[in-house]
Amino acid sequence: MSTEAAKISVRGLKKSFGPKVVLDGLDVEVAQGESLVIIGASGSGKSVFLKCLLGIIRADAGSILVDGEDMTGGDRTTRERVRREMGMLFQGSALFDSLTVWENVAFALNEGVGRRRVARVRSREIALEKLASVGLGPEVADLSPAELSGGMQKRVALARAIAPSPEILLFDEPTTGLDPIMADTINDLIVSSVQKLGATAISITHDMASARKIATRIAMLYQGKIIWDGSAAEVENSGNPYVDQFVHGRSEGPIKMQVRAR
Amino acid sequence: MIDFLSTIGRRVIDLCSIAGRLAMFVASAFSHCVRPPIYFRNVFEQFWRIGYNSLPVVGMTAFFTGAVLALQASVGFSKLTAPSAIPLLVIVSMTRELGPVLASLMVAGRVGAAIAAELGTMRVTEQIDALDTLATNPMKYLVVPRVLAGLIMMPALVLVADVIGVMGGFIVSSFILKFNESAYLINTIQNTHFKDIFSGLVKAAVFGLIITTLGCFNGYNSRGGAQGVGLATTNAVVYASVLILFFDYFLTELFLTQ
Repeated sequence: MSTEAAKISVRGLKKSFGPKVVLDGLDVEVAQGESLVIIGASGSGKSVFLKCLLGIIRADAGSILVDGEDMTGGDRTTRERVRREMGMLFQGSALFDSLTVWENVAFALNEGVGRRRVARVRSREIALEKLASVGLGPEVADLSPAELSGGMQKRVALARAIAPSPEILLFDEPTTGLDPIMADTINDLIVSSVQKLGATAISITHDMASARKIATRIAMLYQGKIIWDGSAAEVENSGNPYVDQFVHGRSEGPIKMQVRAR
Repeated sequence: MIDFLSTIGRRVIDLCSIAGRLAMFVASAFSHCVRPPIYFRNVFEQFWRIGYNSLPVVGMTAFFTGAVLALQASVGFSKLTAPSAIPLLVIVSMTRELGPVLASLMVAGRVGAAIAAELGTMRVTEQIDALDTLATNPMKYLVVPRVLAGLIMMPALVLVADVIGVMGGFIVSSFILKFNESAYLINTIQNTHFKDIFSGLVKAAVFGLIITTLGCFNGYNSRGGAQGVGLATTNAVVYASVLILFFDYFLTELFLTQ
């Protein structure tokens, strides 16, 4: 694919924490409407990559272009404007526990800077619509997030991420900590909401069932670099020993487990 | 010997790095205070939580401080001078020193710890990152309301503490020591000076800033789960308390030399 067509283009991204190199020249391109799943073992730098993409962590070197605009530059307003086009589903849901469920979902509409504020009554209606689209009824709207189970919290977090209709959706280990049935439900919801929005999606996961379901393309991250990249179907017979070991979940192979988180 | 020196060196470097990061944090917080948008709903909520909800603990502290001052003074002064010396001692020490310092130390324990724990938990559960992704600046949404509330509500609390402290002294002087009530009130009014009250309120504003910025700084930068949040809370209270006493000395010197 050409650079012009790429929605997100990451070049030579590097990030170290002290002596520990986490991202070591990562290159990846994602086309408009594509759903890229990045797989990799724990500690391979997946979360750091997502946070660089969001601009929460500043990369040491390299560039991240979103719609041709550089996220890594010093310009804060550009970074904030680009970030407004992104929605993120956090691993632990990261719902605001001081707000009710519907206020969480409507947060970007009520508080977000740069978006047209909507009246509180209208924003509640929107929140209820978004909750319905992830399969939650109006009875949960006035509960506090702490009253919900982990899977329900994930759904609310997904509704919150899609509420401002972002062009890019990021998913950080969307199925971690969920039972297989709930995990599959979340996967289905991710697929349907990405399609409904026509969004470009990047997910990071180590759950292969989830990766197979969400992805149109799969890339494997190992020691801070993308070592393999192909369609979701190709991953089963990649011919790459690292990918094979990961996909089939073998303890024996070329991949050495990281001991430290960072 | 080398180990010993390198330990000192490392500590000094750590301290400098914390001081630098704190200075940058404070500068950023202040600059956000004057740049819109301001989240007024959050500001008023913090006024309520930091100001109004601290009234009981500040009131109790002030009452017993004034009362014990009167009681101690009654022993120190002769029967003849005590009735006029007690109100003087109570009003001057409450407005200048004990009102602002003791109220701030109590608020540091109550509010500083709460801020550090709340922001620390929000940090480790990625709620602060989530604010960023929802086009909301966490400095503006979380830090600015708390810092403004500390700056404005702490002087208000100290004003209340001054009044309640004088009342505590009055009650002990009149009902326990059986001195003349009206003489106490007249003496109090004669010895109430604007400069004393003003210096106390300036101290209170500075202490309010110290409490809230340190609470926010420690919470905002906490790392590593429950233990990290616990450490942030401890640091917020300890550093705020020490800095309150430290700044109290220099502010007193500043006001006395003028």
